Amino acid sequence: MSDETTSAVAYAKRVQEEIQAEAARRRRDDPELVWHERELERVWGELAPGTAGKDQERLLDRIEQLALIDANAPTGTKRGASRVKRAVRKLTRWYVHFVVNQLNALHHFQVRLLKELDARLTRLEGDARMRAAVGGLAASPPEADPRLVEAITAALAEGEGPVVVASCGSGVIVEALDRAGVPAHGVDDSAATVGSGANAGLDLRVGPLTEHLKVFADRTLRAVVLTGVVEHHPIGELLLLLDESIRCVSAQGCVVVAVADPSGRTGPEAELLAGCGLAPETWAYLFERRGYSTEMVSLQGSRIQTIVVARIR
Amino acid sequence: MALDELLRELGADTAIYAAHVNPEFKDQARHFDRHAQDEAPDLIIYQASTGSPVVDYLMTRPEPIVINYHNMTPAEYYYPWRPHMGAELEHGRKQLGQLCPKASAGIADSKFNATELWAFGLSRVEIAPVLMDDAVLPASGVRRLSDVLERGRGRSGDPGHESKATALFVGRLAPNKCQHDLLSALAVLRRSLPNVELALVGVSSADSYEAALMDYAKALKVDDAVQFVGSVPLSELVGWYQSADVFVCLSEHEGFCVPLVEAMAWGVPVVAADAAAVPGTLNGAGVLLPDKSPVSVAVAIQRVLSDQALRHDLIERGLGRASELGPAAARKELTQILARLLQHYRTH
Repeated sequence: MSDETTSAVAYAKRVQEEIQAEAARRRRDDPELVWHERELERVWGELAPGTAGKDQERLLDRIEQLALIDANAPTGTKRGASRVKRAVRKLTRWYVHFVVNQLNALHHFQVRLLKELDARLTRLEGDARMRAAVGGLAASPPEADPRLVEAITAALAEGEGPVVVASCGSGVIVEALDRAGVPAHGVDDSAATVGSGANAGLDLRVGPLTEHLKVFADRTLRAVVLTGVVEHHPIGELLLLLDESIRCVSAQGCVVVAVADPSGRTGPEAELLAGCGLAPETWAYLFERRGYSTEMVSLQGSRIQTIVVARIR
Repeated sequence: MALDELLRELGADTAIYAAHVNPEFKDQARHFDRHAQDEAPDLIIYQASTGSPVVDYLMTRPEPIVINYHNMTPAEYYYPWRPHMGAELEHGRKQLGQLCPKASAGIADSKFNATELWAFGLSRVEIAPVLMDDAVLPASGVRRLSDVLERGRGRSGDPGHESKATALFVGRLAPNKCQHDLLSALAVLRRSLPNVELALVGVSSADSYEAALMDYAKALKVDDAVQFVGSVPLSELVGWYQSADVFVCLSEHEGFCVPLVEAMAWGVPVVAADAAAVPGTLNGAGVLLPDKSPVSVAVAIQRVLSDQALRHDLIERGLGRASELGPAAARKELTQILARLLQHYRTH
């Protein structure tokens, strides 16, 4: 970065800080200003369906208020027609009340359903937040060691079509497959992790693993390799990943699972990753339940002691 | 059309296809269902902007595809205001996710947009600024600093309680562009500068949002200080840039934001929310606000109107940045990118 750019950045930062400090000072010195800001938010919230999403409770309250339809339409008027209006209201009362009662019942159940959904979503969001926090705390599995890379490359020597390595990390498996002349690309949900490999010219992509596999047509890949932070995914996600992998792989292809046994976890990770990942034997069981034969390749002394190779025939 | 012109300048034989051909362009473009009957091209460039049946067709094509991407507004901004537009945008983004792994390369007008393509799995993405319309810019591309300062002398000065000033924003009235935040800031700003006015130039993209903005302005009692200018001819747009004292952009989502560059080219200092592609487009040539609460925005506008040293600095940086992003530079970069792509795909 040039001196000029550095000083420009520092200057811009200083101006930004001065503006924030001045805004804070004004709020401190003028309590009415704070009230004014809240009032602006409230007024816009009443006009805008879009902002209600930021305040779920207020939106639900508003829906509840609006859901109750009043069958007694006002009859007041400036032009003296109120008597006519009252007469019309009286004559149509039997019909309007019948319809309104049904609508009110429908709305009541819709509001109840929305509140129930809101409660369930809140619980799900809580779980997701917990998972995100845990994901950040648990260390990523180490890169595949040379013996593992060699075993995976050997398992993929035959077949047609490209190989997808999920999750590829910095791409050591993709690199080995490239060297062996097997067309392959990697996908990982962390841009930071793939950075060094992608910069070195490997075809590494960023995105959710299952979503990435969805773009491939049925039976078009030579193989899918499941490794890396696949160990950290909860079982529901792993089952989706398993089925997507099987779908994409061609008739002579295979799905390779190279993960450590979760029962071998120790220390904080044992608790942080509880309920995540599956043992190689369980992977083999899941493939066999779906009608595919598996081979177990043993790697004694390695962190990942068993590789599961499921042949999709 | 500008892209087509550049490709032809590079010696390419081109044809334009679209899902809906505006009668005005019926001599230049054809419906995309004609494409399969025409001679197969070396390369297809697809302009991704919303959901389109063209993508389904492209998924079946064997030719290399280059995605030209100027961003799609995230659907969630439109769902509450114009649901069918939200659905179209969501569909478009889903299609982009399908097309990216199949595409060979991408062209994006900002790093922000390139990042979206990378995230969808398209690894080869080149970046070139938008080819802007010369007619909205000063004859020389950007104004001379001395002309801008001369015009500003005695007009802005140190805006006291009675000084008049115009804050401008140019862009569609759209939920992602957050014109409602501009109205909130105006309401706070007018407590200390009662003669400040706000001009919103741009056509509405959601009638319900426009109506809510007008009701909001009335509720805040600033409707007499806001002009909803609507769509204007380019000559009139130039007039707005020439008369503005500050350009304020509080958008939450912009893929590039051409009006920022136009404002800078006319020597209008910029205050903007630090969001999406805006920091990249400004590149230090405007006041960026990490917090766009009404008080912070009002303080920033007041500071830019009153602090002559800051104002001078922003104008000078803005003119420099507008030169970097102007049509001449954009044309040069885009030509180089297209030449590389043509050379690569003609030989492969």
